[in-house]
Amino acid sequence: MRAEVSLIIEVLKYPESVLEYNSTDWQIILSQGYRHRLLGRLFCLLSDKQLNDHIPEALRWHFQSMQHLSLAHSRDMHIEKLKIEKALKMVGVQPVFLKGLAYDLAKDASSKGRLYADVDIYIPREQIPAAEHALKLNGWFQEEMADYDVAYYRNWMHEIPPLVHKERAVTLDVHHHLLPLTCRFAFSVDKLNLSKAGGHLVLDRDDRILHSACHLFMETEFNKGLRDLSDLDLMFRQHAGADENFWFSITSRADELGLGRLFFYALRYCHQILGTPVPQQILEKCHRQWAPSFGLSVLDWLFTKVLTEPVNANSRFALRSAHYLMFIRGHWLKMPLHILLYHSLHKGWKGFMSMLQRSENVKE
Amino acid sequence: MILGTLAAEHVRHQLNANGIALRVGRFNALIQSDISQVSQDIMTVYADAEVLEHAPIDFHIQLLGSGGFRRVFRPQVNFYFHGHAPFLPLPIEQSLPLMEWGLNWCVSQHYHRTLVVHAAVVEKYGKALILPGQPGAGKSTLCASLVASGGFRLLSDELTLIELESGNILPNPRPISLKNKAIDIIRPTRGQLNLSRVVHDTQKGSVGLLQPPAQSVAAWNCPASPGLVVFPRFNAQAEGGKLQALDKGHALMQMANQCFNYSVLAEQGFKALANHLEQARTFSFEYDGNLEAAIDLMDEMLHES
Amino acid sequence: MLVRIGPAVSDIMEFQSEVSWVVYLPNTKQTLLFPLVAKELISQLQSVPSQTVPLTALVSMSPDNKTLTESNEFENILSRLVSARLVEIQ
Repeated sequence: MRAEVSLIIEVLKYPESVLEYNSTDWQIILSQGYRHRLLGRLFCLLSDKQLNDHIPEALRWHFQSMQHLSLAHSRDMHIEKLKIEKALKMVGVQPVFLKGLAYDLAKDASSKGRLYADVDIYIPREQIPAAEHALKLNGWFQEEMADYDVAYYRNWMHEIPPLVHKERAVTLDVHHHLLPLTCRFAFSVDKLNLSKAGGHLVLDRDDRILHSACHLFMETEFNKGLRDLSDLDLMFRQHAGADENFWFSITSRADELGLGRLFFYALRYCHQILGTPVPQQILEKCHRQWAPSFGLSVLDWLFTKVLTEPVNANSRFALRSAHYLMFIRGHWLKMPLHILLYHSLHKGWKGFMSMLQRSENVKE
Repeated sequence: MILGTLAAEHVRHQLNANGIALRVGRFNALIQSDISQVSQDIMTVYADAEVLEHAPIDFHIQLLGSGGFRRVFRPQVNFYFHGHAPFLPLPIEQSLPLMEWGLNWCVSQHYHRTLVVHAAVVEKYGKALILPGQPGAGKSTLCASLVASGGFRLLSDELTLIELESGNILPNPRPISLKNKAIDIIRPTRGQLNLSRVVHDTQKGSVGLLQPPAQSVAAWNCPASPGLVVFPRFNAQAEGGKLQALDKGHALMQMANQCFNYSVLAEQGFKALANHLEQARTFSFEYDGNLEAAIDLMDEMLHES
Repeated sequence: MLVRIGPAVSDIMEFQSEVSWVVYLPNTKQTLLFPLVAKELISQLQSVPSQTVPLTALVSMSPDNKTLTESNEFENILSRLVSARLVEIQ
């Protein structure tokens, strides 16, 4: 099992590894690619290096189809982007696109072969009522939700309850902050740096990457963890290659926003797991400044586990425990203790169990 | 070597150990299961499936009983696809229908080399007859009787795969899923074909699976050219069946709505549909349940095509 | 009211049968069904040199203007063509 875990990671690290693969290895890569939802990404990375001919002919359609799906998602998201901008223009609001769509707009390497679950935008808090109004007039609606959940979103979260478009069924997350309001790392959103990409607003390079790092390292569910880690790895590699000032710039930006600890984790685990070429002095500096004073080796074990192996109800005890501990940690980071206790009475165990069975009723 | 030639005990053991690799339709699946009923069911409806050795595997499927108290209290079955569970567990009696739904899901969610339309499709005279239809329109019943008593070749009872460049249909011959009344209608006319035990109280009512004919299974790699697209609708008043020409533009719109990956394939999907329909004739068909008349009519129409 | 062919019109894929015209718009990934007369209407419009004509003139130009105007079908088709941006109204 250990050897299996490292195969997909090996390809993400050095796509050239596939030159050595036999049919059993490819079979393992296929299964891991499905489990981590990385088949499209693998296809892109291999294509970039003209290596996709090495995928056995009989299995190639799996990789190609997922890359096709990713292209289709990307196109749907761009159609959605125009509709959102048009709706918000009515009330004079210009949204900032976040996450997947932002990667795509800014041509970040993390957009390669990525699947998009929904659209995320940021709007300053004072503009939220007008924006919500305009979106609802244009066909977005909030799905039925228990009062408790609505209150949870409104009081403690950094986003309003998700909106869904009535015809296109795409989910839209409207954020008024990048981190939960109650979060231990909360910073002022006035400080965010924006830039334009293809005429649309996104966070600028450093903030975009830091946002991605915050998300992953405050996460409660890690079943797409390797995908997200690979996003960071690809962005690090791309931007460090394009700008020699990159590491210095992003490190001081992390400091400025008070996100050093999360940035440290991003560097550490990208470097440890995916071999991201982070300069040694940056790693050391971040370690000195931001490493937790105790428990780092425990975190190393936990992060390595949850980021490299998705969990399900049949997983081994150690893996399930690691995911559960990280689930609790994620919530702990997002909320002060009294809110967390209150919240966990409603959600805690049930939420974790539903993650194990992130499944649907059989339809067709 | 086909599955039916293996000893039942050997199959049960293999399923429970490393799994059995089978060609299901046109895809290669490695199936593992610790549920003994599953091995009997597979032997019944996949008797003619090729047992594969050292072949690349498209879908690694596991049907495993839930652990803990569920082992004894209302036992459940879980469907795993490459190690993750896309569906909630079902009562253990529904293992076979779950496997079949699961295998359909494997294709409809992941195979984008062709357009995947929610429709039954059979072949005769080298030409395809596509039967799209809302649930309850009777497409499975029609499909089963065309195959069991009309001498048509089964391409698929659920997923019509339209090749993008040629507009031809790629076969994916798997067991035909019969629901409720259709089970008793087909049972007496099925000839040599095995029918699985019927499972009641599923989400779709009672479900039984009909074994596909051996010749259809063996011809999994022989595509069919466009022939007829017929939209069936059950109507007790339509004596002897009423066939009416349907405008191809309307047919395209209806088929686009029945596609799983139309949006994924975008222009390519539109082109494939248009290409297929250019070469086919399109009809709506009201039928009164007289299957013999329906078979004759379809045969005649396809013969002329 | 003046009617003019919209900019997206060149960017479509189409399928034509005896009575209908199916248009695929890659930009919005929409598939739309029109009566065949819609296609004829557009080609008539394209033959107008300035590409802008008064609405009233357009009605008289339409291939089967009598039935279209009587049944209000004309306005319906035109508004659908406009919302798909196959035709732009100035």
